[in-house]
Amino acid sequence: MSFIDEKTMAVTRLAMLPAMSAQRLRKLLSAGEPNEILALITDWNNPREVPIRDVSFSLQALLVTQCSKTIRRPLGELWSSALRENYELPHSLSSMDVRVLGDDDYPSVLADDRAAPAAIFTRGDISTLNARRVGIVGTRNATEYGRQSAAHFARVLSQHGVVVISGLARGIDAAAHRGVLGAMYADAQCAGPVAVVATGLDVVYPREHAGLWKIVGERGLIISESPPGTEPLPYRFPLRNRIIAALSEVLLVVESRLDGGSLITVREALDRGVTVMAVPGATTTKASQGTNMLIRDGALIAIEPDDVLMALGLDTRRQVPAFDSRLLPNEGDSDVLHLFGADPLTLDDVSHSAQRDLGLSFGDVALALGRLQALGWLMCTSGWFERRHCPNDLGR
Amino acid sequence: MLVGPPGSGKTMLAQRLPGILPLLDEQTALEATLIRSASGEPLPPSGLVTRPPIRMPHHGASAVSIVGGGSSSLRPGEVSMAHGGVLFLDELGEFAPSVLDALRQPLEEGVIRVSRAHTRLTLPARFTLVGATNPCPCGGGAPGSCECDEVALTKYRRRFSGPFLDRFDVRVLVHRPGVEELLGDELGESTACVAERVMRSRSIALERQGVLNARLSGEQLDHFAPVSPKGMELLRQELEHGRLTGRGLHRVRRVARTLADRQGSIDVVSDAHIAAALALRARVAPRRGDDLRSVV
Repeated sequence: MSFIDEKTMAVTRLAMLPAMSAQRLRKLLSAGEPNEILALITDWNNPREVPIRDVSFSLQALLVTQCSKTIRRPLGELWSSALRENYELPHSLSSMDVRVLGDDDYPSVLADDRAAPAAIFTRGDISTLNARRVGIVGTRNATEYGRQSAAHFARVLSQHGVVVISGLARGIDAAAHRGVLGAMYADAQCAGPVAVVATGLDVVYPREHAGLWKIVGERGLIISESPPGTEPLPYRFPLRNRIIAALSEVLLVVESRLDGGSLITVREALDRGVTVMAVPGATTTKASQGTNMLIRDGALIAIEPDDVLMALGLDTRRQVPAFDSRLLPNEGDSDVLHLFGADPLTLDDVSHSAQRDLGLSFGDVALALGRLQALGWLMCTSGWFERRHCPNDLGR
Repeated sequence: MLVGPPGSGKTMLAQRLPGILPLLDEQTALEATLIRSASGEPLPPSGLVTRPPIRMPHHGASAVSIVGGGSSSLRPGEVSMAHGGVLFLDELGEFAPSVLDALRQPLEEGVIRVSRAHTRLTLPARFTLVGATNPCPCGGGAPGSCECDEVALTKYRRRFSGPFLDRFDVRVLVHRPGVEELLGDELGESTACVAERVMRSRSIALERQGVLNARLSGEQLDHFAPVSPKGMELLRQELEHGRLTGRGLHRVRRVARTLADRQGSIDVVSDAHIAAALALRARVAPRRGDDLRSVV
């Protein structure tokens, strides 16, 4: 979209005002046309030009509210002076769409939500959302098992035409998006990725996801409630989570700690009657404590993607045959591989048990570990070795 | 470089290190004694420092105390006091960057040059640097069990730059021993037993080339530590994937030569030795793996 219409500009200006919140923006935009509201607020300091009877009671109430406990200034005054400065709109606005609650191009799945954002900024194809939708969330500090599970679920769901919604954060989120992209890479008919982010669409966070961010916008859809230029502020992430919950029909938690941010998404989902499913993990792993607790508290167990498809009412038997393309390790190496359980091991652990149980020298163990990594059976992160599961057939 | 959570025995390991080193040779013993005497610290009863020293400066130490110097009279710093022995820096990441920078010259050249307004002095400073650090601020480290937030982790990661880590020959993860290991009957090797092994492989190296493996130059490496074709292939792969630098390559080859010496007189360094040397250079800097290859 190269041409920016007046309404888009007005909405963006309003959304970018200081001390603006989702609720305040909602109140503002529900009071009338964005252009009129904008003009009205600009003249707010000048009472002669704004006959008080023209302003609805609820809008009046909002504009005389104080900004916050620390800034004791009426909102109307603050906003009016901010608008008079007439700052430039970010150039990146031309590369995104602005959709206002109540308009036709606002996604209908979000419009019915009780806390629907008053306006959303999107990049990509909005029709991606016209499908069955599953949210995949989880910890940023994931284990290899978690990332593989997330990617596997996302890949199979996408192959069955189910849209996977996540948050483009590190760990589980990124793995889920990559799983979808992997499925699309093999077959363009697969459902595209949907990301809901907390920053402005032009502020990539975390920065290492710049590439992923771009591809998701091209192949699928990125949604943000925040106007362009919004920095990653801590309070925006829980707000973003509510949008993920609102968009999802089923929320799948892959790995979460006991105090994880994913549990905020779970709470939002439960408030909305969204089915919550969790992938179980080892009881010894901190990253799985939250999901295991969810299961104990009654969340549905998701062991394979079919479980999620069943919850959606799509009773499809697995159409994609399980196939492990990895070369089998030789006999000696597979003995070393069998030393691995669910927990990550250090080189010291492996060589110690290999020396004791298999009689291998340190050099042999190092060679075996190298070969197993090259074939894709093991994964090494910061000196910790973890077993990798089959990309297509997890846990069988 | 030892990386591990608190209580995993990093300090214990470092303190054992002088015990497994052979006694100082005559020349080094004289130098060490002179330095000790100049510092004003008491000499051992025999009058000659023969045991390899271990120095453990606190991470609050100033650059001058590490390097040597002082305004009125020049005093040898910790790097010189550790001459012939071990300089152990606990909580490596907590040391001031200027201190860590100052270590470069002695590490490369084995001497430290101290310049002050009225004197210039070159002091011997050939030591084994041992660094210890927690894997991340919370000490957890293992995938999925670390509790640090992003900001703290990024800050911590910045302290361990690639070139800095590259200077270590050996980087290993150590972790807390399990209950069985602490209370079990299985006894570890005694220091004396390890010392004998060290002695043996050192004498093999000295007999072959006249210097220790650590001092082999690039040309000498080709001559005294030829690598088998399979081992070369391993090194090539590591270099091509960018997991190994030029400096790292030579370090790996020296460590591999030592590993071969431990098994007796083997002329050619095999792929197992290379693999073991590579495995001893774990990429230990705290990192959250979002590896693309791991998923798609």
